[in-house]
Amino acid sequence: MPSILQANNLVRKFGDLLAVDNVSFDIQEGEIFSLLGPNGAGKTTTISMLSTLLAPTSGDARINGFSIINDNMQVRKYIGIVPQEIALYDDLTAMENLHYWGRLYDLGGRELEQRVQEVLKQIGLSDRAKDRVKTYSGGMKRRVNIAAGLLHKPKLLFMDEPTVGIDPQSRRMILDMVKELNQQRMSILYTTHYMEEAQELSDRVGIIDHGKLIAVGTQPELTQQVGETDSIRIQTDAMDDLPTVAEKLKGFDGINRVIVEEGGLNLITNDAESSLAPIINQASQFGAHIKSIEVVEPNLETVFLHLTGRALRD
Amino acid sequence: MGKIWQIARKDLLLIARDPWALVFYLLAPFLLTLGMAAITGAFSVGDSGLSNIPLVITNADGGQLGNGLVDIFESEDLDSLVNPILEDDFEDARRLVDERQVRAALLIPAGFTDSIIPRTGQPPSQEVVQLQLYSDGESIYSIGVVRTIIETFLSELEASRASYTVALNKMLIEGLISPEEVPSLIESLSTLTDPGNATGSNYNIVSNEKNFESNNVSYLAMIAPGMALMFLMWNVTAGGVSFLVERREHTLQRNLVSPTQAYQIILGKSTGIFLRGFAQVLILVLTSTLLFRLNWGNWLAVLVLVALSAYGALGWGMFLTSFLKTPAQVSNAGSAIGLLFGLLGGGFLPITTLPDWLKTISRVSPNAWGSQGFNIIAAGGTLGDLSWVLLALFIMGTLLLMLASLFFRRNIIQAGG
Repeated sequence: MPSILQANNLVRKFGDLLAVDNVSFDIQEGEIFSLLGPNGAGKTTTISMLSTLLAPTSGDARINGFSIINDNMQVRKYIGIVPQEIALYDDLTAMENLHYWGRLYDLGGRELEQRVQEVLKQIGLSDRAKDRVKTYSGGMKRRVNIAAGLLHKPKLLFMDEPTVGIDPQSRRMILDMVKELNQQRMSILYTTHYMEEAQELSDRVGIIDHGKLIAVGTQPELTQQVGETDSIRIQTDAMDDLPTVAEKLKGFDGINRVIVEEGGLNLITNDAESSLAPIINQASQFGAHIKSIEVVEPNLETVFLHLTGRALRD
Repeated sequence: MGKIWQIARKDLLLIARDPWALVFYLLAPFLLTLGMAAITGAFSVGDSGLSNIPLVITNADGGQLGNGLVDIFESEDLDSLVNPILEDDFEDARRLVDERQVRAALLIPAGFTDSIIPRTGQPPSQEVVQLQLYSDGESIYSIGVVRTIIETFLSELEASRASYTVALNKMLIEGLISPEEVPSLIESLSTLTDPGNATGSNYNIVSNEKNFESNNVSYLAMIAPGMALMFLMWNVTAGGVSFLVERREHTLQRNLVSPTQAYQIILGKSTGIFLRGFAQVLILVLTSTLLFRLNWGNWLAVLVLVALSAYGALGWGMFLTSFLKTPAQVSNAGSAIGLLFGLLGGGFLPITTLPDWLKTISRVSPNAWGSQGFNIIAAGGTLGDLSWVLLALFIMGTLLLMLASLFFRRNIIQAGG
C-alpha cells in the first residue's frame, strides 16, 4: 500500500524546549495510525507541523507527495483537521459554521449544500443545524468540530484528541464515526492519551513521549517488544506503606518490576497465573491490606510502562 | 477575492449576532454626540457655541458706512460673541492673524461708503469695492460668525437702498420732485440710493476662505466629525482584537490550515473591520443630517473622506493588534490611543483651540486629517479640495497595514497561531 504521509526527522523547538525530537513515521492509505502518549508528549505539536500550521525547526514530511514546507497550499487541500479544541464560531449556527468552513475549502453551490447536509446527518445533528453552536452540549460541539474537518472529503484526516472531556455517549459516537470514515478508505492520524481508544481504532500505533517516537508498530508487534509479561494490579488500603511493601516484593521470584501507583501496586511478572497466589500471600505478610487484584495481559499500557517506566496517565 | 469576502462576511455576521456590540459600533458615537450637544445646551442650528472671537478691523473707509460696520462689531449685542480691536495698517492686522493672536482680520477699504452713497454733486462711484476678510485658515466656525455679521449688515443696507429707490422713482414719475432735487434728498435723508444703478451692487466680500457657507454653525457640527473619527479608532481597534480572540478560540488556526493564504485572512478580517467603521461614521453623518439638518457638505467628498478615514484608522488598529499579545492589551492600548487621537482630532474641542505644537503632533492621527477634511467639505470644498488630506490618510493606512502585516506574520501566523 502506498504511503499517504511520510514524516522524516521532524524537529520542533520552542526556545530551549525540544517539543518534537527527530520524529519519523509513515501512514499507509486507508490506515488508522494513532499517536499514543501522555499530555505534553508532543502529539499536538507533531500534528501542527503536519497540518502546516507550524513550521518544523528541521525535517520535513510529505503528504500525498507534497512537502509540508514547500507545497503547503497543496498539502492543505488533501488534509482535514479536527483540532483538540472546539474551533467553531459560537454565535453562528452549525449550518453557518459548516458553510463557512466549506467555502474556505473551495466548496460552493449545490456541492457545498449537499456536503453540509451529509455531514450533519453523519454527526446526527440535522435537527439542530439551525441552532447556534453556543446552545450545544460539549459532545454536540465536538461532533460539529469533526464535521467541519470532513466537508471536503480529505484523503488524510488529523484528529487531535477528539474525545477529551465529553460524555460516554458522544465518545462512543465519535469512535464509531472514526471507524466508519476509515471504512470509506479515509486515512486517519489519531492522537490520544487513552490506551483503550488507540487499541480499539488503530491499525498501527506510534508511542510518543517527551517529543520522541519510542515505538511504532501494530499492537501485536508492540506487545511482543515487552515479552511474555503480565501485569498484576493490586489495590490496597490507603493507609498502607506501599513503598516498603514494594521494596520487599522486588526480590520475590518471578516479579520483574514493582511500580507504586496511586492506591496500589503494579507488578510486572513473566507468568501471572503461577505467581499470583504466592504474591498475595507475601504482600499480606509485608503489611498490605489487599482490596482487589486484577491481572492484565500485555497491552499498550504495558508497552508504555515497559518503555518509559511510567504509566500513561502519569 | 471570494475567500476575502467570506471572511469579512463572517465577521460582520458575528457582529450582527451580538446586539450589544452592534449598538456600540453603530449607535454609541451618535448617542454620545447628542449627549454632549445636549449638555452644552448648544443643540439648535445657528447657535455658534463660540464666544469672544478675536477680530482685528482696519477701517480705511472712515465714512458713514465703514464706521457703522465697526460700531456693529463693537455693539453691546455682540459683546460676548466678538472681541474686535482696531488696527490702522491692514498688513499689521494680517500679521496678527498669521501669528495666531486673532482669528481674522477685516479690511473696510477706502471708498466703501462712497461706493454706496455718492458725495453731493458727484456721480456715484463705479469702482467695485472689496471688503477683505483674512483668516487663519483653521478657525472655520469663527470666521463663519464674522462673515455672517458682515453679510447681515450688507443685506440690510441692500434692503434699505431698494426701498428708497422705489419711493424716489415713484415721486419722480408723479412729478412730486424734480431730478435735480434727488441728490440733496438723498443726503438729507442719509439714504442709500443710486438712481442710475438701482439694482446693482458695487461692493463684495473677498476672503482667503473660498466659498464659505456660514449656515449651520453649531456645536454639534464642530464636534460631530471629531467624535465620529474617535469612535472609528475605537471600532477598528476592537476589530483588531477579534484577531487575537480568534487565536484564543482556535478558529484562527483552523482558518490557517485551510487552503487559504495568510494574506487573504488578513485582508478578509481587515475588510470586515473597515466596513464596520465605514458604516459607523456613515450612520452618524446620515442621522445628524436627517434629524438636525447638519450640513456636512458635498456628499461624494464626505463618502470618500469617511472611507479614507476608516482606512487610516484601520491601519492604526491593525498595527496595534499585530504586536500586542492579548485582547486585553489591545483593548487597553486601543482605548488610550483612541482617546488621545480623539483629543488631537477634535473629538472634544475644535482643533483650532490646540497649541501649535500639539496641532503638529496631531498629524500622526487619522482623526486630525479627517477633521481637517470634514472642515474643508463643510466650507464648501469638493473632492478635489481634499486631495492632500486623502493622500495623507491613504499613505498612513497603507504604511501601517504593511507594518502590521509583517508583524502579524511573525507574531501570530508563523508562531503557530
